[in-house]
Amino acid sequence: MREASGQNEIVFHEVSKFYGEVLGVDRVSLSIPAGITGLVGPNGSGKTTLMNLATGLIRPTRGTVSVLGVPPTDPERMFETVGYCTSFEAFPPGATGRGFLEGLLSLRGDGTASARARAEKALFRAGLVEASSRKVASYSKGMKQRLRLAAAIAHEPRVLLLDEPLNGLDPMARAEVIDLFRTLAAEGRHVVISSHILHEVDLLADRVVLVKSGYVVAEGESHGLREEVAERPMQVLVRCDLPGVLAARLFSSGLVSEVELHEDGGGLLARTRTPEKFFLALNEAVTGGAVLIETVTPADDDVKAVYRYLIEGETVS
Amino acid sequence: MSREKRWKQLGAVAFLELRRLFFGRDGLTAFFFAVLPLVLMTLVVTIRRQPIPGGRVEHDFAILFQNLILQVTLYLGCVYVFGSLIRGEQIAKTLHFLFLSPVRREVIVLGKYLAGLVLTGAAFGGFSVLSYFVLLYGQGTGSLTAALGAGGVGHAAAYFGVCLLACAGYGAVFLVLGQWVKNPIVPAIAIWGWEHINFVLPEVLKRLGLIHYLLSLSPVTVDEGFIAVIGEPVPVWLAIPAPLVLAVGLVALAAWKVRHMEVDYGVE
Amino acid sequence: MTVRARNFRPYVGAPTSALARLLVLPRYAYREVFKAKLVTGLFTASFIVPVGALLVVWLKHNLAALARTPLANGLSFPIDERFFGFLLLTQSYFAFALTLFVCPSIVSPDLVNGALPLYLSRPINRWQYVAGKLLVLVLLLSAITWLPLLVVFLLEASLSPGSWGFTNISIAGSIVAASLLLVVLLSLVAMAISAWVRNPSIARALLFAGAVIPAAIGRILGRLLETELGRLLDLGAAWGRVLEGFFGIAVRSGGLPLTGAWLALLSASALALLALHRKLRAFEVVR
Repeated sequence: MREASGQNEIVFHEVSKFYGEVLGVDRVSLSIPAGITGLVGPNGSGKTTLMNLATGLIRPTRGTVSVLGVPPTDPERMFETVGYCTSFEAFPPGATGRGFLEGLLSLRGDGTASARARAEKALFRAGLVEASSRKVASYSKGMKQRLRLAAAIAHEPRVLLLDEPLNGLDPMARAEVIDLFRTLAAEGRHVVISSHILHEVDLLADRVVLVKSGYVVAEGESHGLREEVAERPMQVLVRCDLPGVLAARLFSSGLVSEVELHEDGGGLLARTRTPEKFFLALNEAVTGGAVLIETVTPADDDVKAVYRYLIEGETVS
Repeated sequence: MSREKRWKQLGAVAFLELRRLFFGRDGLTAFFFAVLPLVLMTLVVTIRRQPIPGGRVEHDFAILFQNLILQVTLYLGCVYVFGSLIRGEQIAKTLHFLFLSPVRREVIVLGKYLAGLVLTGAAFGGFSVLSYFVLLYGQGTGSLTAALGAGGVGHAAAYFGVCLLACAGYGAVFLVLGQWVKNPIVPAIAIWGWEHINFVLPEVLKRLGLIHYLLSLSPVTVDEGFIAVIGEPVPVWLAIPAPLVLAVGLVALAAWKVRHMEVDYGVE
Repeated sequence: MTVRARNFRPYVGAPTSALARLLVLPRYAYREVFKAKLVTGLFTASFIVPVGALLVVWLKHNLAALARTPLANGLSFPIDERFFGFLLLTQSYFAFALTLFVCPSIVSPDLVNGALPLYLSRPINRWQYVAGKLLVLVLLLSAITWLPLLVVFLLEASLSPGSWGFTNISIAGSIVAASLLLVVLLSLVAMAISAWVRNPSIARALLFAGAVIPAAIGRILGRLLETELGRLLDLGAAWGRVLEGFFGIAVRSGGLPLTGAWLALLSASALALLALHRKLRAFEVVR
């Protein structure tokens, strides 16, 4: 049971959101600590709903949400510490990039000089200084994305929620922005990134939350997440000199559910539901001199595998 | 949060809204509506060679003020400006920028309302007074001086004040409608119809129309034809606070509504 | 780098006819339009007066039935040009209301959501797009103006003794001509405003303003300048004057000159077409 009043976490407690009869998210309980957290799921899975719930843009049908102990019903306190880069594409008509940022900062109570300085810093971090005097309407999709990012970080929030932040960015810009996220996380901030593109998050996030059809299907550290999927066998690739002998040993100890021997006779692919015991057994086999093992590689110990298992519903062949 | 900071935020919201209105299409349209009577009066004094027969000038302007300004241009200007304060940002999908700022939503609504009031009040009040002076000037400089001396300044101030009250009252109505109704023009037309037939309504029902209070403050009474039901004008002590009380109540309702508002452009 | 064989082949079959492609627009538009209960309700209400007129015509020719109604002493007015002129005038208010609610919702969203470039990237050009959308309104408004009135006319013709229908065939012509003029004018002006402001609510407000402001200005100018010419700004009054011309009756437009009324209507239509030409483009210039 998670506390709804975590002072240093983003907390969802039994949160459900229905849009009329359509399910947004259901019974979500999550605690997101500092660092980079990836919110992964296909389109329509409920990622944006979770972010909108966290920031009070929408209200939960049931349950409670708080960000660093502050509920979304208290915008004055919440948005002193939270920055949200939404996926809404529109900007106020007629505004320049710089004017837009300065306007937002003036809402925070910043004076002209302070707003100008903070806007300049945010534009610099988002790599948008050169285009900042142009009308936003003339920006490319990537530039608009950078401006949204600048708006989210301009007041140097402790919590940064980023909804599909890499959309529309070219590879160079992606690299720059990913570096920026890492820097922000290293400064002790909460950075929550939603994406349906898995490898983006897999490379970037310390933690991953997988969402499907409005439900959180898995959460945890990227590599540790795999171990939590107990009902799915984990695949391990073993290159060794006597794969037949090793397979017999593993079967006899009941640690594998399936083994495929490689055609070249130099290894095997084992599927196990008890990885810890399996690796222990491998150690014993090596130390006992039964087989000579070259490499042991988890074949699916990444987020992609979990994504495939839990979200796409595939079994690994 | 300190009171000073909240005032600062209120100012910032109002300033941003004014900028949006001034440089956006909403403000331009309201300006067009507001300037229309002035253009018309300039046209009239330019085309008309002889002065309007004595005594008719004040009466003719009162007809213009009632039939064109209060019942048409100001009304539509308020529908346009106040109806789009919240609804317009929802349609433009920009409302979340305000809602993601550390500003109480009530402050956002109040700031937006004040911006709308400043814009419409200044535009409709200012151009109404200018139209009045242009019509007087068209009768000759002597007529202008004489009219100003004989209470013309007071009339101008009254027209300005009535415009302000009208913007405050109608503005609050359309602010609320813009939040509650997806298509505010439908109730706006219905209210327009109600206000339009006010002159034929019995005394009790007359008091349910804002126009009744506004016309009671108008410096010159206009004959509304043989089918009109003549009612007692509302005394000044009631005619001034009534629209203001209505405005305060409705803005409070709008502030309550906005607290529970969700930003979900997908279902717009 | 691998250069793959170019095996894409464009469609080489015969495209459907321009009319068939154009009819796709109304088909989808009607589905959207009648989703709104307000429009469905208004459309239904638009038939109350024609149905009432049918009943009146029938009662006038069925004295036995008439005797059982409160109108037993008879319906004193004749079924003539004036009757049909007033009927059409009444229907014109329903036509305006329907245009107000329908037109902005079928044009503005295409421009706001960037659907227009998608349309124009198909084998359909700008004027076909305009014609397709125009057809939506023309069919809808025809269904509440000249079509039901012609039914009333035919009923009167079939029940009247002698050759009433042939003698008064000009009434049928006037119904169709005045209605079509109204329908095309309303549709063009409403489409132009919807394309210009691109926001359905604001377009509706402007359409409403376009109806009430010129009427008020016309009245003021009439008083201050002692002229009826100001009423030419009021397209409703101008159309009313043309309707009077068609039916040869005096209904509501006072001393408006007929030529001036025609000029006002033609100028408004030309301006609307110009606005559509300017605004309906597959691209937008940001300044």
